[in-house]
Amino acid sequence: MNWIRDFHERLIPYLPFIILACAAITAVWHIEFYW
Amino acid sequence: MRRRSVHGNERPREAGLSTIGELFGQQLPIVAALLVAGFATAFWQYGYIPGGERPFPLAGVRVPVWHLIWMGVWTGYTMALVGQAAGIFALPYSTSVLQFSNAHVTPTMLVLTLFNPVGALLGFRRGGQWNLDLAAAVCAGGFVGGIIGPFFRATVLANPEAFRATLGVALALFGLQLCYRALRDYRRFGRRVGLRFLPSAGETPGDFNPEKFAIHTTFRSFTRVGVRFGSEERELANGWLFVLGLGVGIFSSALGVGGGFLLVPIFAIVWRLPIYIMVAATIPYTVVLSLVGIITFIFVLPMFAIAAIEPEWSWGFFSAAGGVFGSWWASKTQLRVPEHFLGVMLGGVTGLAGLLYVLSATGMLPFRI
Repeated sequence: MNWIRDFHERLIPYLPFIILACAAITAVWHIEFYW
Repeated sequence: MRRRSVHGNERPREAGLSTIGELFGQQLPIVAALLVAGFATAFWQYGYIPGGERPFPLAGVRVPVWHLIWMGVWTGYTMALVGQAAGIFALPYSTSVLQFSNAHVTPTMLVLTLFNPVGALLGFRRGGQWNLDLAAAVCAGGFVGGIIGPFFRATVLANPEAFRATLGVALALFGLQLCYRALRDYRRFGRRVGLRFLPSAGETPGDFNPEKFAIHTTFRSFTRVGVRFGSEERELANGWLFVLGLGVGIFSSALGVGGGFLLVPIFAIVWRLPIYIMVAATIPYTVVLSLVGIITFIFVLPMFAIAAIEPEWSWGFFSAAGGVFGSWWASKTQLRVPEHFLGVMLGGVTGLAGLLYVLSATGMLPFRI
């Protein structure tokens, strides 16, 4: 569990961009699959 | 006493454990309750669970349930980082990508924005980014403004398109200014995070817990309130805070729009409060405004003979479940996200909101905001 917490701590400053990138990928997937 | 590095990522083990306890003891039960509410309302209303295979009847589209939860997570996370509710991202995403573009989308987003800031509220409170003396006047203004706002709908704001277009242009300019200031401050001060406001990071007077983030009230009277965070102090006039909350509340409820996207840039530009601090006022404000929005929706609109439009309840509950977790996650990480990232995000969100209002006023959007 500690390594997960440490990894999360290091990731925090970049999380907004990672999350927005994941949201964009999901949106593209949805458009491809459902439109 | 061990001092915490302002720019580092060290965190006391106790804080980590407390965060996990908070997640399992406080947040996950709320998330689980909202998920159960989503499944229960879907089954009760339609006799089946809509999703990727069968469409949501009111929305008229097929979307996997996990996608709605994920939409709540990412919109709740990004918006709570800048002290707002998820609506300004979730609405255009639902209408464009998910193609939920009929009249039911607006009340559905109201369900999301009612619950979504609760995660942030509890998280910021636990983390110390919390001061009711700072929030009281602006929230009181928002409550009053939200209640009386609909009465302006038929009079002063009888032609709201012109107001929307003007607001859109103003917000777009605000957004540019916020981005410019974030980049200018980055060039001037370098990379800064919210941990610099920890008492242990500065020369804070008093005997505060040096490892605990806190926004302390230095004094309060009927007309003014003083707050201290880290080594900085600010004094704000309650009258102006009330007027700001009132104005934004009237405007947002008269036009049926959210208020956070307007309140946060004003806090940043007029009072120059850091984003890490202003969440203590803006997150409670979004909760108050959401509650008033629901009251308006259920009780006030029928007084004007405007039929209430039914939300897609299960859609709202599923996305709210993700939104509660996302906004709580933001509250636990915001202090270590660099200030210029937050500034650029706030500027980008404000500019996006402005662009949407301008496009909406010119009839170039397939939906109304």
